[in-house]
Amino acid sequence: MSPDVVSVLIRACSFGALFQAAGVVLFLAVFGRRLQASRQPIQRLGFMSMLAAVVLTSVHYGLEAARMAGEWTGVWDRELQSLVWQTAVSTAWIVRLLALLLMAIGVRRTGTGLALIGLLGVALATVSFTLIGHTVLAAGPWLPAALAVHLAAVAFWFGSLLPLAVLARHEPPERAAHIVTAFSRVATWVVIALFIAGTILLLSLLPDWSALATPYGLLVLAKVAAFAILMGLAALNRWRYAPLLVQQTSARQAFRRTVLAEYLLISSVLLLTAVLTTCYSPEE
Amino acid sequence: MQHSAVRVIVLVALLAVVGAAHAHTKLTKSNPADNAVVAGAPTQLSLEFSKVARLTAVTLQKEGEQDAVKLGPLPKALATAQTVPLTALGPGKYLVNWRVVGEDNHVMSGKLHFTIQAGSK
Repeated sequence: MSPDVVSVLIRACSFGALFQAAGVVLFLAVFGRRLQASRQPIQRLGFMSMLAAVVLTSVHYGLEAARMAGEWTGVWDRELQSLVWQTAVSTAWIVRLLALLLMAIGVRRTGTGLALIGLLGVALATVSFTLIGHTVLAAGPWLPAALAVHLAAVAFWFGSLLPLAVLARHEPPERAAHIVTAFSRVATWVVIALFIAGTILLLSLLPDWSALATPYGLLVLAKVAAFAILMGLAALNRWRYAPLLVQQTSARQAFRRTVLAEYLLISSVLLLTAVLTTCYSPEE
Repeated sequence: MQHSAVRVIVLVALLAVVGAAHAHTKLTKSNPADNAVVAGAPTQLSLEFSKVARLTAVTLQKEGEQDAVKLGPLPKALATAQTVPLTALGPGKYLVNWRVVGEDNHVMSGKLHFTIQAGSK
């Protein structure tokens, strides 16, 4: 398997781990005080995601030299590794490692003022994506800002799904239903922000509408289609299963299944995003 | 059903990546040109890109030979025009694989073919 393919897969997994970690921090910041039985399992999820993100992000960084060389021996090429170190790729890697450290501190200190450190970590993690890629060459701060908002929203949505599944299993039905309802209210605004920021990115990066017919454009359309399906699943949970969580055990199971379906779908979008941002550019 | 869906999604993504790995990206001009037939062996390979980039790898492979040769030394500067010296080449068909990194740290790759006519010195 070529370094390009492996790099994309590792990158997608690193996105998943990073956004899962950031999402746990955000979820605990908003709902942590209401959790009892599920707090520790969710914190453990956060720590494991952070550890995975450290490993995957670092492996992806190490593979950049192999991608530059077009072969695996590039990993050991001092000149290429030195070149990678001189680029913003190394800066983004270091910022992400720092972000994960801050997130780990924040998750451990949920419910205290130190939890704000975790939120700083989330902010750094989203900012790290503005240091590389197609938004780097944008004039003005709006495109990087839109990207940061878009990614923060993704982190909250994606990273909250497993905590929701955990709390549906561990918390008493009434508390679970109450938190899910509160989450849905917050998530409504988050999704709106995600959509608006995503639209700004799309309109800014595409040179013209004919670019939608290019591989880059088709992958973007696939993401939009996945977003539409996700909205359907989220609505199902919000309006059908969440109100029944108090009364029916079967509703809990259906809720968890739908949440996991959302998780798989967003994971596939992260994979598509890794392909999109690694292999294509809006101008091709 | 969820496992099947995941397998399909990963397969589609892998196909997308494989396709992209051989995609001809934004090389605007080269000398020798892509698919050119030249009478004399070129002494250098010139590549022009749509945006500034730095060459990170260039290999040359002659048809019928198993191994590709790494070309160098490669220019270290970011520029739209990049030039790499060539050693004395004999007649035959050649494949050039190149990789560059752009200002946005995007690694791009591509290939071009050229032929040196028999009887060339």
